[in-house]
Amino acid sequence: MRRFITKRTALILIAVVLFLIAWNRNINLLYGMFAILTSLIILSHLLPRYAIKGLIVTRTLQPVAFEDDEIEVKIYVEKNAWTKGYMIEITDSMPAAGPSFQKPMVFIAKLPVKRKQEFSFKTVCYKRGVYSVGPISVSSAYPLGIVSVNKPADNARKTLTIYPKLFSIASFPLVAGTTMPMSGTEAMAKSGGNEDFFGTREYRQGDSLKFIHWPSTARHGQLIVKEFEIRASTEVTVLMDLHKDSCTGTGRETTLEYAVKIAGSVARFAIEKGHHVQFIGYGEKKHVVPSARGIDQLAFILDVLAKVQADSTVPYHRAITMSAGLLRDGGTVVLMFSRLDSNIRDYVYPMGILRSKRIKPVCVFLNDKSFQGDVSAPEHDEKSPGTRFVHEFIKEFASEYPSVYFVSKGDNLQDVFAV
Amino acid sequence: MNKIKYSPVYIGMYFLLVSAILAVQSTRNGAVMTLVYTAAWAIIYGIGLICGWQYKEKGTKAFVIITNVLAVFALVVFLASFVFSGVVDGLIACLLWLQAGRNFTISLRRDIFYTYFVSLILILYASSISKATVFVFFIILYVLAGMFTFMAEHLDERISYASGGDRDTLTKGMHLPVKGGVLSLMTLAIAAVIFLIVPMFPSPHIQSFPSVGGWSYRNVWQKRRKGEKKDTGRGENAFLGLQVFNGTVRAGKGKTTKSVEHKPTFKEMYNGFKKKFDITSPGRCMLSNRIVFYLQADRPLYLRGKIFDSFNGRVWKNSSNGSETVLINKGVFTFDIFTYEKEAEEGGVGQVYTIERNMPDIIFTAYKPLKLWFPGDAVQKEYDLSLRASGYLHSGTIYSVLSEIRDVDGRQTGGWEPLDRADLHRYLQLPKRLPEKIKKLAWSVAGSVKSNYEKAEVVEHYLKTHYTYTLATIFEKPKGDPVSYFLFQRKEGHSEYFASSMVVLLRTLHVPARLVTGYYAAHYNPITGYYEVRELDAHAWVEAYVNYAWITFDPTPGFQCPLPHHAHGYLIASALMRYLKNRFRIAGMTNRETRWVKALQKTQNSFDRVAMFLKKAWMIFKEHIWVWLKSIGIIGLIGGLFAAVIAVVIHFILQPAFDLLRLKRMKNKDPEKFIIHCYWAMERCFKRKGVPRPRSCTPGEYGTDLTVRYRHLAGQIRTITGLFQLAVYGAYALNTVDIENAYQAYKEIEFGRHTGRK
Repeated sequence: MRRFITKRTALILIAVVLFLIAWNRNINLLYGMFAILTSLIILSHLLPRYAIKGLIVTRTLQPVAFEDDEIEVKIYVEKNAWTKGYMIEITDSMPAAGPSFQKPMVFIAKLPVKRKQEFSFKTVCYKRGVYSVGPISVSSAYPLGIVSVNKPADNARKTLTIYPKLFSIASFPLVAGTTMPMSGTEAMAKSGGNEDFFGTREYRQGDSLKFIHWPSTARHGQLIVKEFEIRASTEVTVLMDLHKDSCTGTGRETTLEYAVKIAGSVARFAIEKGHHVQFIGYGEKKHVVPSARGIDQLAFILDVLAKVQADSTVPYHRAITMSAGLLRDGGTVVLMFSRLDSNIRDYVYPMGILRSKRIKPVCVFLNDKSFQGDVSAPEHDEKSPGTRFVHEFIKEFASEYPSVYFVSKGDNLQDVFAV
Repeated sequence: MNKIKYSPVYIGMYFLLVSAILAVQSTRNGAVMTLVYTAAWAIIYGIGLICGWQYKEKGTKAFVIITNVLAVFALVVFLASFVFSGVVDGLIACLLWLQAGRNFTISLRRDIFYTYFVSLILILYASSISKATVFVFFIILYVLAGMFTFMAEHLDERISYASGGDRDTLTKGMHLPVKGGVLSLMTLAIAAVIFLIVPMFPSPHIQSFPSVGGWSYRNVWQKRRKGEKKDTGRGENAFLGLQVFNGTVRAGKGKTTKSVEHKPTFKEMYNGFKKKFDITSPGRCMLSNRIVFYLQADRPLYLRGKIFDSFNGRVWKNSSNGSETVLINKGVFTFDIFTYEKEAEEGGVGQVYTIERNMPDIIFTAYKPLKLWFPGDAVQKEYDLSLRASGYLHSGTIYSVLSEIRDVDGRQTGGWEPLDRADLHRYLQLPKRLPEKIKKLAWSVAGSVKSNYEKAEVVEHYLKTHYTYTLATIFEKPKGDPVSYFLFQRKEGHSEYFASSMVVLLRTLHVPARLVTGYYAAHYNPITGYYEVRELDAHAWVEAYVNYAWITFDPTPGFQCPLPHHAHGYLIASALMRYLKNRFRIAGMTNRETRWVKALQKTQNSFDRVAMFLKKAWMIFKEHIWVWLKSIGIIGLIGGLFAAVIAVVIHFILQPAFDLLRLKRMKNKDPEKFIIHCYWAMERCFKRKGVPRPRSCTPGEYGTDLTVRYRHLAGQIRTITGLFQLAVYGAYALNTVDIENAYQAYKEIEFGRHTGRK
């Protein structure tokens, strides 16, 4: 609701009261005050129109930024009229900025005629997303701030993509799942990986016969196989839960935002290590970035991560099942559980599929209770359904590769993933 | 909370408060004391605001204590002022000290509004009581300070919200982006125009009449009767014959608040207010421009002071000895008059007098006073309804009068009033040694006229037309009979000569008449809204008893009997012209041959000459050229030329509408032609907006330039330019959709209408 008592209404009221007193008491000096106030009110209505007349405003800004980055927006202003501009306010619409900074304003005290001038302001990108910046409007309340005249200056909108803020990951268990005996070794990022002799051991069922080291077999009287140090690259799939109930919390402190940050950071880590990375998320629209390597792939993934919203009706266990066909055998999948009150039985089938494809899951459990304001961590409260789900899940599906992370609201993700 | 960031806000507040204090002090003190008091307050407020700035920066607790202490002090001052000076003084003092305390802790933007409020109260109070023209400059000063504060506060507010631009430049030091000179001049010029044209309708006077105040006057006549005449404290001014009791006057609530140590002597006072009045020496005050009192009334008036009935050829005196003490009754003095009627009261003329300079004990009123609101408990009423106070009227005294004034045949009268035979005899008294030639003159002028009224009229007209008004005679002391000297020798003189001559002539013709002295209050100051009554407005006129009523006659040339239609009118502009003219006249009359008066007179003469020239030119045109034009039938040609000029002007104004109409008609015709015309119309539109197409620029380049300049119209410009290029250079056949698109695009460019086309 607009304020009724503004400077303008107050001045008009005072002018009217002065006129009435002057009329009633025949005091012409009060007529004089009334005349001056009326003159001020008239000028306050007229001058702002001339102040913003003939203004040409354009804006430039970078198309992409990361969350919490400070970006500089440049505004070019030219006054194409015969009068100078005074007290001009150029207001941009910057939805990417924080809640109270979405209407940044550049204040120009004096603008000369027919000279293009550059002004700039800095804004901090508050939250990832794809934003339409603009329109720009100009206004002026010259000279006394009594009446403000506003008009659109530049309707052209620009798109600003804000990527999620990424954090550094020191190490992440990307596990190679090639044919035995290479399985179980840590995948290293090295292009054109080769095989170096590592040692020998006893034959185990399932080992390929071509790796039998016959001289040692002869010496020991039992089958001995050669072991090689594997330098191989693997495929990492980041699978996000975009079910509409999976987003808990408000603003930037939601499970989805944390998950997006983790996904982006893991993707960057894997790509930096030279792995293939793909991203899958079943939102209202299917978000799939096919497996690839290189910095462009990271850009593709970040583009998608900037857009994803928890807006689908596909539950996470179903998303795992649906995405199984896109996962390469022996790869690594990063699973992010945003709800810890799920039923463990729902995951039996999808996890079975992953196991059958020798896909190693890395599980990230997001403590949704903490995002609702519950400070007790489920991993310490054994009776909570969340704890039960986590324990059962680990016991059931992740005992072989205990790559599990717990994230609560307010955690320093860099520390969490440093372990 | 929004803290003040822009330091000029403090300067603005300082000047706002100081200008308001200056205005208030100017209404209460003389020039010197005004400056002294204002300087003292300016220092107090300056220190306070500097501390306020420090408080904003550091939050020093000591300043909060000072604020609280001064708030308590303000309350004490209020109570003290309330007891000794009255509630208004108490409130003003309280406000000033409260603000003084508040200054120490001003840090937030909302605090500025408190300053606005206090200063507005002060200036309104000062405006309501000030009667000086110079007060306009204080108002202007206050408004300029207010504008500065408003601007600074606006800048402060915008800077606090700004993310960039000139924010940092402005917050560093005292950087003011706007030069206020032109802005101030514009504001004042528009204000002057509004002030001059604003209509001033007749006032309803709701709760504004009567007005009484200033000083209080004791009933001295009652004491005299009780034998308290020995009171040594009460002096008597023998020179004037005026009662001045100890110079002590009493103010509100009946308590003595001020003692005037020196008894006023009124040495330069108009002699017509004395008991005996020598018409040859009215006094030097006739050349004095000093304001005696201010009158607030709806019309110009004759204000009666003293009435004289007995004349010895040189000196007038009042021979009646019937005076009566009238006591206040329910706050008002009501005079027992035969003609008093309820209707008369309702239709009476209200007057509010504000005494500017100490005056004799005469209570000036317009004839005939019905009611008087006076700050005293008794006044004295003479037989002829002239009124006296118990002491001299002190500067600052305010009193109100309601008079019954009837305008009969362009003259004022107080209505029907019986007169007994003895009184008639008094008003027919003639000097013992009246020259025979005066009698002859009287009979020769009006002897043939039958009615008394006509006789008076004829005599008045004779004097007005055969004699000249001058102030040069006030220093002359003619020997012999002064009236005879005036009528037959000098044939010019001051108003007392005229009035005395008329009374003598009328009495010779057996028409009862009397001489009245007082003030001619006809100089309305449109800037303040008050009639300014100056010492040189002292005047003498005649009241003749005709048809059972005293009717006012003024035989002095240049003086008109003031009537309601002589009032200032609805517009200040016309009243201001009259006021300025009168001021020039007075300046010339009082021989103030200063440079500026001469310059102003020259300017006025120049304007008069130009006005005269234009008037003559108009008369010549009307009487000769116009007649000749009519006779030769050229009027049609002139009319045609005038119509053509009007048509060109209208065409220029309505060109966009014409263009649109033309295009609408062409829509169903040749598409290529339509598009070309549409493009031309667009070019004309942008030419009007100040962006014409340079000759060196192709339509494509021009279109590109326009899209950069007018981004919000980029689509429309591209549509029309593209279609134009296709129409002129392309092989593409334009269709109806293209035409419609171009038409809609043009409409949006020209009229800014969004027709929903995508």
